[in-house]
Amino acid sequence: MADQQVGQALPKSSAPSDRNAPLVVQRNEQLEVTRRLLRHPLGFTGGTIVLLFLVLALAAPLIAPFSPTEQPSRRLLAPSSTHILGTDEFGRDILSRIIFGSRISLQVGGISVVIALFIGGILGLVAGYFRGEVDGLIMRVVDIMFAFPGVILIIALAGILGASITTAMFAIGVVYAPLFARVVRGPTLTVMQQQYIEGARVVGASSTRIILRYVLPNIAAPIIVQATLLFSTAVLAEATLSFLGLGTQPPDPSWGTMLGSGRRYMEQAPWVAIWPGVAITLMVLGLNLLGDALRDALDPRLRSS
Amino acid sequence: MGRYLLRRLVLIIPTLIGASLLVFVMMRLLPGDVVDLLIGSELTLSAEQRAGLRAMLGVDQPWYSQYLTWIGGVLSGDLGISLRSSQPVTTLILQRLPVTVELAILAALISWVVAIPLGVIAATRRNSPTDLFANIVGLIGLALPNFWLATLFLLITSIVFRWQPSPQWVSPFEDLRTNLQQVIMPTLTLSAGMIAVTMRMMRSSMLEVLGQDYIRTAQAKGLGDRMVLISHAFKNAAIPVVTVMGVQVGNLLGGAVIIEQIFGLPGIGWLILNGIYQRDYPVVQGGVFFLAVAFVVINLLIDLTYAYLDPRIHYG
Amino acid sequence: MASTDTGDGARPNMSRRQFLRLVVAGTGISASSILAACGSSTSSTPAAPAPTAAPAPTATPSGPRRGGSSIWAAESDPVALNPITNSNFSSTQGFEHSYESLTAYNDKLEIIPALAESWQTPDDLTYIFNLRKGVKWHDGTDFTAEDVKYTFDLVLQKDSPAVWRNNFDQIEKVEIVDSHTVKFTTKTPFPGMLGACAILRSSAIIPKGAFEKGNLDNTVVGTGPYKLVEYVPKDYIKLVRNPDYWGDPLPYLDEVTFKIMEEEETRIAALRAGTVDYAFLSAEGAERVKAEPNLVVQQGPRTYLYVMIFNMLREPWSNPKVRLALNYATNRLEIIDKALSGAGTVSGPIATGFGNWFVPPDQLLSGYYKPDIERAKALLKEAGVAEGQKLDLLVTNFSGEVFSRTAVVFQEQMKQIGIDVQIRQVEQGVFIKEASPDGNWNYDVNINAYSPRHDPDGYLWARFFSENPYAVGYKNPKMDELLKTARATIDPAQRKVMYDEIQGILLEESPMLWIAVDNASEATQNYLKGYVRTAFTRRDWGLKNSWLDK
Repeated sequence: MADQQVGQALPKSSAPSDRNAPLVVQRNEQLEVTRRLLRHPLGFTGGTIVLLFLVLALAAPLIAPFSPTEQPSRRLLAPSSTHILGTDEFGRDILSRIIFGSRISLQVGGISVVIALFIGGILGLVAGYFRGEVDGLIMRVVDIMFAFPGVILIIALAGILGASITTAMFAIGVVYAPLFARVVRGPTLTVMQQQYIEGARVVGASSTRIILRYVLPNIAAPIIVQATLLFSTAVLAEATLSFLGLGTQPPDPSWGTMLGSGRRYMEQAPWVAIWPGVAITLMVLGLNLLGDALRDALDPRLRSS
Repeated sequence: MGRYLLRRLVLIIPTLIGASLLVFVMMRLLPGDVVDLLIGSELTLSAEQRAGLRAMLGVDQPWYSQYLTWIGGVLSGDLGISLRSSQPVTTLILQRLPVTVELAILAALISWVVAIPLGVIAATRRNSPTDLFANIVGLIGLALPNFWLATLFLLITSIVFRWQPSPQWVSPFEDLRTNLQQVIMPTLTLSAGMIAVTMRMMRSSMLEVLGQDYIRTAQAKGLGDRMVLISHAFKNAAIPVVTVMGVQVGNLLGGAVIIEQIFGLPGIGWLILNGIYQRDYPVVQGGVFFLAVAFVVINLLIDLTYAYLDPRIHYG
Repeated sequence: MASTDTGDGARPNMSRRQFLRLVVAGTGISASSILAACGSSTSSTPAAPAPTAAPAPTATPSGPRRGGSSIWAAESDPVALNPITNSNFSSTQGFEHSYESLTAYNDKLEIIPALAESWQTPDDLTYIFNLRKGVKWHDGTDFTAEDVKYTFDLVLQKDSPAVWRNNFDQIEKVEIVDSHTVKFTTKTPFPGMLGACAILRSSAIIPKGAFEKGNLDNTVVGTGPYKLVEYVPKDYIKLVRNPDYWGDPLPYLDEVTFKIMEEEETRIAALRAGTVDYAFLSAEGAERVKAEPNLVVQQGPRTYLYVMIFNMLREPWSNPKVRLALNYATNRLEIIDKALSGAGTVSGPIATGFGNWFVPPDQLLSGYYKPDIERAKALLKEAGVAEGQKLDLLVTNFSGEVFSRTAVVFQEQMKQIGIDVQIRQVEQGVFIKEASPDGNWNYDVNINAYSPRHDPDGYLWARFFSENPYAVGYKNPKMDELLKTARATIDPAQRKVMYDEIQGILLEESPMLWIAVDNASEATQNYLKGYVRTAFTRRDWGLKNSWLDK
């Protein structure tokens, strides 16, 4: 494929940790990455935001003043001391729903990334490792998936499997799997052309061993970066699906659902739609800042500059 | 070059067949058919009447015979007839094509015009306040769900400015001014989400190229003007960005559904989505097929632009 | 939960009072209107729709003026314009300006002559319609009795494509007497005949042979005040004045475009900016534009009845005690407040506001609709339903958010009596399939709604007559007998007694939980005169009487 040729055409860097050398991740290497990440101001901010949401999600029942589904008060109450962020159209506490909503967002983001990574990763690895006809076949399937409009695919899957949060995660995962297949395949092809792979073959290492010992560590960086970015895409995709009524089921507090139904009250009761919007924006922002910083930290060629 | 092109063209065929089969099977897996939708949830029709309607619309045939009929039609340039509106699917697509293409191209252009310079500047002034600013601007656009942004646009323009464009879409060739008024809000909304992606791609690609030996060597030797170097690096750095651009335009053709709905500019995405809701098989099949063709063609064109951008690539 | 009862009771009460006032004032469906139709059993020639006296709620000295073009927002896409095969109300709203039937409704929902100038009922089983002379189809050909017979023959076939065929199942045959006289013979006395025509559901008269020859989904040859120029699905319907319309000087506007704007935000924005002259609004939407000086908002109840339907083929919902328990645990006023934004009125089996057939809301609220958790718990215990009983609640949000909002409120309410409601919100196609015989009734309860009906029978027959496929397990021989007699009784007073009894039984046995009818609002620019909304939310009468004062 063309992009592969592009990669090879570029002059090779002579930095000591060239990506052509087997990057066997060692302890001090990890420390190095973490250190660089912490020094990266944006990355630090992003990481903190994501961590904050993680804490929010884990400790939701302890922090939230109300249950996310109970309807304790009158509808559309403005923010007050009882309801810090006001109440929604059912009289539910918006703050509590946002706190519990972080669980759904993280869950959807996390699981759909894992699904995409699993399906796409395996396809990409197999294609890049075996090359030839296997590669051709897999890449045709990937092409088909790419040619298929993503939004439409997610919606159709949600219809077929029945709308639920599980379906949403699965559908989002499947739709983004081809992206991972491509992300994984390229570097795998490069790694497979290296001499140390040839060496491993000569000493009789099995395919599994070669993949686990040599290929995976060397392609980890782009995967991690892509996974972080996809995480945020998945959070937004869930919001869109829920907006269309095909994602999280009522009365569960999904930010997307809150935003979708709150949109109707943006004029009379703006707090209903603003806060979930802020939550999504913050989360996506955090994930992207983290992803960018990870990219910088993990990419050897960017270190010295 | 000729052989490469031929090979690519041949590979398109299985892709299109695969996509059409996929959409075909998916539509039939969806519970309910067009007659259910015709009847609705309120009506109580006898079994005889339901069977009669299914026969009238031809959805009582086995699926493989429906597929063969359909693909046979496609080969002779006929995408079929809508089961709900009785219009040829080709007509329905052509009715929506101008809006869809205009939105996609304008949104992409706006995002590129903003994102590419931002990306280049961010890369050349890495870790400076400018870099930070560019980053945040791009990311906020990405992080705001676009249906939310669209609603905000509607509220602000109608409440503060008491203004809305003329509700009925006018072709830019007929009345450019009215047309631009109509597409400004949807294209801005759509492009907001794309800026960050292109900008970040541009930035990292640029950084990569700038970090490479030949540039650094050239700089170290004090050779040449910095601007010349940057413009030289830019050409190389643009290659991966162009790939993303192609995918973006392809996605916009079918993926602007919610924005199309909110701004009342029905495009192809909206056509397909409603086809799904109405179980209007020919519309969904035809629409997806059309988008798949468009996507494949755009990607082919992009691969060909590589050859222009990077003379080191030779297709053989 | 407790606070909801006290805090929120006020608003629905107020809207109910307001509602009743409207009924009395005649803005709603006045008692006389539907009765008047039913009562015309002897030779009658109701007053023709006095074309000169166009209703002008805002009387202006100048009076109606002809001409001008206008853009109206349509809140939903008709999908297709075939008047025979389409059940969706949005489709009716798409073709109602171009097609007509033998009778029609005016703004007060009184039945008035349309293509039939007058009619006689020499006996209980015969309707003779005298057709209007000199009426031309949009293509210039003459409208005759042949067309009427053709249309009804098509509708009455056993495997007819006419989705509302049920509305006419009491008709035996249709005969041509002469070129402008048609005779309908019915199997039983058929009090709903004139209404079934007027409501324009599989009753629009189409030219002879049109169903086979024409493409009725997107071309229209009717007799109505407006001709179809073009319909682009999801985009717009463009209409132009029919210069040969029999109701001259109506219609006034030369050209009308219905721009399809499914998003309420878009409609409100367009109203404010003045780019559309008309739009339909939800209760919230109406609140938002009320303060606009250049807009006129007409509000009132509409006969759109939200219901929850039990699957009585399943345990434990087959037990009337269990259903009654759920009825007593349902707080309808809270549902109205939260799901309908306060803009609604509780309703029994026949929609509140429908003639004088319905059970008065006050009677319902002090009786069956008075929440009684203790009683509900006791009934469940009697029936042997354990705490934590699951209930699969099927709902779709495709025809508005009211359905899923109702589900959310209901779910919370049922927690009080230990019923664990699991909401299953699905796309409309899935919903229709699952809630139909083809999908084997896959639900415990589904949330649905009745759009306007032309006759009280329309709210009852299909769902509670046990032989009908959609009775979903409901069977009561007494109910069968009553329903059969009531639909074949011409005398309105006798019918009223029967329907009261029927509704009493239904409320006790609760095969459904009837919730409420909602209020609807329509907004127009103040220079658009003559438009009057109706409780059916049809716009044919309103449009043909509308004119521009600018």
